[in-house]
Amino acid sequence: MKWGRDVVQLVMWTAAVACVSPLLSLIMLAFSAQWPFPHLLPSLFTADHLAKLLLSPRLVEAVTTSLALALLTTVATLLLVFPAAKAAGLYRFRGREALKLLALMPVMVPAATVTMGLHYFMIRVGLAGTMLGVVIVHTVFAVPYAFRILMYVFEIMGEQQEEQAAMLGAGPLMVFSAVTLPLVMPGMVAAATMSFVISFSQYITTFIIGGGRLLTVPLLLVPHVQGGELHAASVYSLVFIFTALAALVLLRAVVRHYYRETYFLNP
Amino acid sequence: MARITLVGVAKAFNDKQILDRLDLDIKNGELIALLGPSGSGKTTLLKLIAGLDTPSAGRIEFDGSDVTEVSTRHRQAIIVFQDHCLFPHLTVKENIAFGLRARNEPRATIDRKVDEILEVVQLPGRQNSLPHALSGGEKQRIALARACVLKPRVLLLDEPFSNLDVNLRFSMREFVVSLQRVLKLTCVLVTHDKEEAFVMAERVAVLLDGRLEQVDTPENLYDRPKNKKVAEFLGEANFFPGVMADGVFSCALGSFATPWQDTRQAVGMVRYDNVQLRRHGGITLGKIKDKVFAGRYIFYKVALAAGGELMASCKESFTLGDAVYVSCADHAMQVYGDS
Repeated sequence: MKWGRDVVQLVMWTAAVACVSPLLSLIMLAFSAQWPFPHLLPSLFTADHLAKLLLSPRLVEAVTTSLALALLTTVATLLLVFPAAKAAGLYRFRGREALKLLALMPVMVPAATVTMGLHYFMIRVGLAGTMLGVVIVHTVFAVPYAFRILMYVFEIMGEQQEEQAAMLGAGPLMVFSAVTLPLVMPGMVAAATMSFVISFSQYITTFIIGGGRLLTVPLLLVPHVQGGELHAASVYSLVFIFTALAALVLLRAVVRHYYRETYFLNP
Repeated sequence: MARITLVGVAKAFNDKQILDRLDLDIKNGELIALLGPSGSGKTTLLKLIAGLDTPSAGRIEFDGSDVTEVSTRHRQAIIVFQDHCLFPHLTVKENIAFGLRARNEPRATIDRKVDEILEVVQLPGRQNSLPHALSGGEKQRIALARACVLKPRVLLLDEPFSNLDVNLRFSMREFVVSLQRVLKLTCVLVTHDKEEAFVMAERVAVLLDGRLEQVDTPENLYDRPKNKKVAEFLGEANFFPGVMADGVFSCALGSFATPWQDTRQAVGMVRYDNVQLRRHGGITLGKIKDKVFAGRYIFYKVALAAGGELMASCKESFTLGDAVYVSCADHAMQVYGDS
């Protein structure tokens, strides 16, 4: 028992170090002025790369667009996925297995294939190069994950709590807001986090559907990486990571606040 | 509080008959037990009464008016489930207030009623606890309070005590019976536990394979099960194949005068505790083959000299191999047509 816990601890720490160490080298790279070959640490630090980037007007545009896309994608995904996940998680009906499989399709087929097909369609209906078009394509890739997460949450919740609420005389609105939503809220947060991160890190889909008219952080980042500009790429990566992290922390804080306020403090 | 009437209620899932045309009349303020093994359709019937499911045929009446089409929300029939089903994110007070809030009662009334019902269930001062901080028995009492505070037309208990340990179960049984009497609730208790049904209910309805086999007082049910199926289900019964002639039933145990006038192959039933074992004086001889001490009783397996075996329970002490005379009073012998 004790031994088993030590092994778990070891694995966790290894994983943590594996996750954080690339970040450390990224930070050093972003702030290094000189980092000659045999040295473990940079010999000279500078904030020039960061300053140059922060002053560039395109950064603000990219971060804003990325955040807006991610937020809209998250909302669209949750709205789409909630009823479907509830049906698949709680009710037995014909075609339930087919629905589960169908919802996974977009991530089983290569992203470029799906996107090319959607691109053709979006050109015809005039959505190519628009915010809405990009939100749609991001949503397509976020739905499978969010659907899976929420479906399992509904399966665990079961029907009994909603039935109990109805027997106590609650109408559909009260059942939803006072029972269903709070009970699946942890799953909603997980699904929202997933959707947000998926949208935030999209490159090829934004590139194809946005047609270069929408500038996101990954679109700024990738050319620098390919062009071998390591310092600039590192700074962009940091911006990328910390924007995403900040947004997620904020999302969780807002949900937790809402959760407590409504259900734990004000009966 | 209402009189509940089931008229030809049936339920089928995918061509499988779960409940087969049930008729049942539950009196206003009565505590009736629905007794049956798992899979007999007890919970399905409860769900039909609560409106969580709709019958395939027949109708359900509350106080003579048809509620078959009335939604769960407006039916005022509340199930208290085995796993209590408290809302985990709500405090005790919020849980109990849930139904009152749904009725838009004023805050002051809600507060007063919650405090009152917490007194009734003997958990005053627990308003702000969350369900996970309560013990099993406390959770069950809060679940009962949440239902009772609404004065439901019928309270439906779905195996409410099977998750509790033995001592707690006994005190909860008493508690529920007194609660039901104080609040004059019409109450349906679903259970697979014979003792629980007998101890708590005024009448017991035996449900076997989707059919109501017998609805009777506990005494009648125990002493005079209507057919072999019910007798078998209630357990501790010996069966003897035999012959009926002119109201006398003859079997391996002897001849018995019965009130029935059948003349055909029949099966006689005697409960373990109606079998008398004596050392002297009798006709049917047997030998103690096995012995199990069970506290209140000692169970004996007796091999009859004429062939066959039977079970008897009594307080007297015999040892293995003892020769005993086996007898049974005429009125203790139930005779069923051989089917």
